[in-house]
Amino acid sequence: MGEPLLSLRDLEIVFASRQATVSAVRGVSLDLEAGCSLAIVGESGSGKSTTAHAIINLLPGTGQVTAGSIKFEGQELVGASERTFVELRGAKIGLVPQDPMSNLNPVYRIGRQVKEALRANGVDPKRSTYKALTELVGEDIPDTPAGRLYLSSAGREALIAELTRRGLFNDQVGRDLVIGFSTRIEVQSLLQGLGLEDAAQLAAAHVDGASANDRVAGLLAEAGLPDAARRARQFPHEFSGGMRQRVLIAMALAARPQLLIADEPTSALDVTVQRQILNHLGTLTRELGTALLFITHDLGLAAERAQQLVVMYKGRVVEAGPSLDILTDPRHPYTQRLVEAAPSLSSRRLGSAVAPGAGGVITVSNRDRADHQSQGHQSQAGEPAADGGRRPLLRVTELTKVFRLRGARPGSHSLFTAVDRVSFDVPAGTTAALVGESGSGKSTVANLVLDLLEPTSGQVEFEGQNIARRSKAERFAFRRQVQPVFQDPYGSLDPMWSIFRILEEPLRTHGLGDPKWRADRVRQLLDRVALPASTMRRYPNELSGGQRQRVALARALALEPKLVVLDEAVSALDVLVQAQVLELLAELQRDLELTYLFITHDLAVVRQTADRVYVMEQGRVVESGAVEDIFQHPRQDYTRRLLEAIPGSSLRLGEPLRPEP
Amino acid sequence: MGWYIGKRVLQMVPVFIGATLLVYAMVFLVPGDPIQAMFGERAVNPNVAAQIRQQYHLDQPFINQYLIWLGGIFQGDFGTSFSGRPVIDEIAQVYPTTVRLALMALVLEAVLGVVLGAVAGLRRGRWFDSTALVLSLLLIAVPTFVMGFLLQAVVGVKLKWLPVTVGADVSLRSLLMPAFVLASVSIAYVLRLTRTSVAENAQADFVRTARAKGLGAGQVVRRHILRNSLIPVVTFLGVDLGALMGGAIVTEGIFNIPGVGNKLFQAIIRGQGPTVVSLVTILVLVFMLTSLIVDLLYAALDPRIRLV
Amino acid sequence: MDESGLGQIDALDESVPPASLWREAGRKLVRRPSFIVAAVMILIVVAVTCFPGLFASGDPNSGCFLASRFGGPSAGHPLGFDQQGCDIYTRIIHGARPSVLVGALTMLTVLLLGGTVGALAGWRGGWLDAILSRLGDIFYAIPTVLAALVFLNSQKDRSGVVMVVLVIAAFAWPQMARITRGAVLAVKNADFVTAARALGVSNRRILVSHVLPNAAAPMIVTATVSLGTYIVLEATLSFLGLGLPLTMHSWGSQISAAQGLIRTHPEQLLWPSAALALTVLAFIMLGDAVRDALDPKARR
Repeated sequence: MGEPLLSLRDLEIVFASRQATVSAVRGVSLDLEAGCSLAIVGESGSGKSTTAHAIINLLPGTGQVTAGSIKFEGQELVGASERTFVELRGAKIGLVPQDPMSNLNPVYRIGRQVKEALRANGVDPKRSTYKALTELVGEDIPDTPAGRLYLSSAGREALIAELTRRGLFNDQVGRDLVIGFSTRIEVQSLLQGLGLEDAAQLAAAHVDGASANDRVAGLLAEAGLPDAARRARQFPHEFSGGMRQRVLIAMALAARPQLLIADEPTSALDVTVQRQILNHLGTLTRELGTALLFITHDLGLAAERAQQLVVMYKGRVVEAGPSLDILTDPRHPYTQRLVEAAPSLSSRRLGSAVAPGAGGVITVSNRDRADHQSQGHQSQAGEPAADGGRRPLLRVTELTKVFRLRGARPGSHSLFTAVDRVSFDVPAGTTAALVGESGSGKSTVANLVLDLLEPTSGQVEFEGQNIARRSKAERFAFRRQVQPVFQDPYGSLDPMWSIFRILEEPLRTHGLGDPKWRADRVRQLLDRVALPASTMRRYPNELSGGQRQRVALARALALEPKLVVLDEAVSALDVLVQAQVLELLAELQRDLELTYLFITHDLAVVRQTADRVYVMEQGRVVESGAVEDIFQHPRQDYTRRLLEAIPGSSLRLGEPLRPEP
Repeated sequence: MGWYIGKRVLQMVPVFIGATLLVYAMVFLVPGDPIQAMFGERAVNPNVAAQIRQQYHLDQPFINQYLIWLGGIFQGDFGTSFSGRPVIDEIAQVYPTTVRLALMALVLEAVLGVVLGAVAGLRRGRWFDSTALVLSLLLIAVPTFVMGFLLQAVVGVKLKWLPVTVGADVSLRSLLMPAFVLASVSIAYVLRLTRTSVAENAQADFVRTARAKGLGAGQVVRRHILRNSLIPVVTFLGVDLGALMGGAIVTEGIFNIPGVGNKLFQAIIRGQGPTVVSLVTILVLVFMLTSLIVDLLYAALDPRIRLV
Repeated sequence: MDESGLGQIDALDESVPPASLWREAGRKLVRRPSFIVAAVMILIVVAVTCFPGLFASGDPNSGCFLASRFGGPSAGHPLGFDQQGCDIYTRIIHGARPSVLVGALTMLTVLLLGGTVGALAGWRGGWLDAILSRLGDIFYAIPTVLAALVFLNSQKDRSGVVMVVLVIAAFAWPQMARITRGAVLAVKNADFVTAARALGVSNRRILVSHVLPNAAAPMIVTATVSLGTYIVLEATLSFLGLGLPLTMHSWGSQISAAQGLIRTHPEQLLWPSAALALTVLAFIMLGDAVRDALDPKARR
């Protein structure tokens, strides 16, 4: 190939504030050929998004390119005028942003926002100028992106009427004729397929360019939005996250750019939706010949989706090359650690008390019961525990939680069953994982187990005692036995309190020790989670996400609980920190004989941490079993979809790999 | 939406009864003889006093007086003033002036506040922004009556550009100065609200996406930043209109404008209980109605708002 | 993997000194020129309020000679004399106390009343919230100046600082209640509150030690700014002749007394107006600076 489509050379980007200048990107160079794909991988703060935004001059705040060169189609963009960028954006370079929830203007209908992308880049779906030109020349319109004619809604109706008259119309044909999406050529071959001799004439007569509204519907359909024409008249808040991301993809591709920058396009979405959208994005860019610059923190995802990888760390490129080479033979120590830590690529159970070193130590009786449960049988409360004579520390039986949702009319309400007859046991010293996507009810189960919510029916037994039937004193004592760690490291520590006060609070609340003993204990706890004792004088806002999460863990451990409920406790952390925290959890489990109830959407993490898995969907446990069982022989479609959605699951390390066809 | 309006109206009933009861109590449940208060230092003819007492049910227990009065309100009867005219007539006489003044003030607020605020928000941290902020602080800090006298002294007396007081001449020209004085604090609030809102939206993700689509700077500002920023501003203006409609006691006093505020102040000073109570009742009604309209307006402007 | 893993990958930066949010906000504040200006002005106003004798030697009511009526500035009388021949400077100095006193006491009453009602409504929710919110609506529906005028007019003989404070606070608390309620609701479901519940911390303790401190920032900002507006309110009432008794010579009544002289002696109006406006400006500027320093968006 000749000159690359995009070429960065020694790019330096700086954020300047009154106090200091921070160097965000230092000497980054990369090349992307037309029609190819490249992924920039790095954790938060690595400068990957900053690099991407610099290409289209949309750096936030005080960000500035201070040195280096950005060339697009041979044109130098560093120092180019804003006008140059306005012409470039949308028309030649599209952007799919990170967070679908905040990237659509809430006050405008979807269709209008997509249409804006067409208008701003001078796309005329009717092709009026183009048609006039070809008429002048006297030749037919070729099927190039610029000359492509789309089916209009009126044209579709007329064509359907014509086909119905000839008795050739059926539902399949109806589905294949998509407003604003089907081209003249496509319609012609469709009609030929129906055996029509005048297919060319019919197609030419009825497919004659779409109105902007029709084309918007077509673009949305192309991005995989069902019922696009109706959907275009709705507002963003009526869409789910996945659907909004499809809208953003449609917008970015509306003017058929040569380059698409996808900045963590699916990080905010559920895993199965994530996979669908990435598949679709991959197919679309391949078909349109659009080059893809993919920004992600997930090495597995990057390797799966891009031909080339660029690994960034603290603003620098530490390694670059073909994806598979990097995965199989990482050179730089950082990349090596990243490959090692990537949960998507690991299949090893971190050591625990019950199954040290290896996973899959499951007794037969255990598996039997899992079968019973998945078939809807309930295990009797009095039944002796099966795990090698171990009594379950936690036993949840037929647990159900129904919420009342207030309706618009006074007095009206609807019932929402968040948790539906969920049963499971957690033997002492083991880890049980509840896995599911958002809305599956897994966090509600966590709150029920923590006695923060009252079950509608069913019961939670801890050490053989129903936690609902207890005196106030017993309830208070129960708090010492069961402790939570939540997902959001920014929300789980009181920002007004020092770390010392945060860690002392549980001890003080339960009247343990004198001040000196408590101070010693706080120091011990910090040490347990690998934080220096000086941390105690600090405040949460001075700590990183991983450090906060470790403080939250230390707080949970302060009372020496038997059961720790980890509600997405590592989901918000960077890969390397996540791996370390998982190690720490395993170590603590070994040393303190802790029992974990692990709530997560991330099956990759489950594989590293759990002994048993319960897959939840819409409030129910749809499948359960030992970790290896579930991973090797998933029985339910839903579980299979979850497994497939693990980034990098299609990659097998050590095997010869082919890029996606 | 019908259910929502119904629910809101239902919520208004206790608020209306509570507010009117409060005002009624403050006016009538006071030590001293309201009739004596009405006549000031002059001696009162006992027969006349007895007649008035009966006419206004002052001989009955307080709560009965209130209930009789409330019954009248629900039949559209706002009572008669001590001077014998129906209160509603007295209000009708002064209300148009107040409405005119209020609308002028609102226009000033909207135009000056939004324009200055939007420019300041788009140039955050630059000299225009700092100047606008200092200006807004001054407008808030200088009390209405000080602002009134200041403008009277400079624009009216010294420069003779505008009439010093209004009196019977309620033309747009003579109302311009009082309208500005009345609006001054709100101009500052609108300015600051617009500024914050514009600055916030300018940083929003969807604005970056709009730019990434290829929209020019002007289009981004007009279609995405301003349109979204105006939602809280319009809401504020609506609430403020409700307050302005209540008349401006101080401004109308300084500029001698025959409006509701002036009328109300005279009625309070002279102890004309029935007039005070009925006027305040109307103001409370206007206020509650505007806040309902503002809520509906908010939902109309922001599709995310669900009225429940 | 070794123990040092976490210490290495996610190491704590021990070079910067620890700082609580309040201390950080304090540091940000002292760097702002507008805060310094406001603080100096407020210090002066407070000093004048507490020790007027230090700033003006005479008594505001004695030493008035009709002979010096409207007299211009002279030695010992920097601002000249008013229409009764009293020293304007002395009167303005002594006018600070009633204004600031009313403002500060009203602010405290509103903070206490509105804060308690709002915190209860937000924390308890349900029917209590509904009732308290409607109660607030009742007082909110009547304009404060209007209500104060109606009430004070009926209590003319007993008017004083306490009366004015109570009547303003009685109609101004709903705003504080709304702000507190909103702030409490925003914190109520935070993870750290849930964590405290899971630790067994009592409900009341959670409210007092976790929720209220986190809801304090917007309350403090509102209180500071509204202190300025309460001073304006008192001045307005006094200006209309229904606020503090004339013998207290508050700035409002001084302005009221001079309003007829706008054409002949505008400076009589200017001085008390300037004193009033500058005091209010100081408190509003302070509130502004505090708001910016406590802005949660600027934190991370």
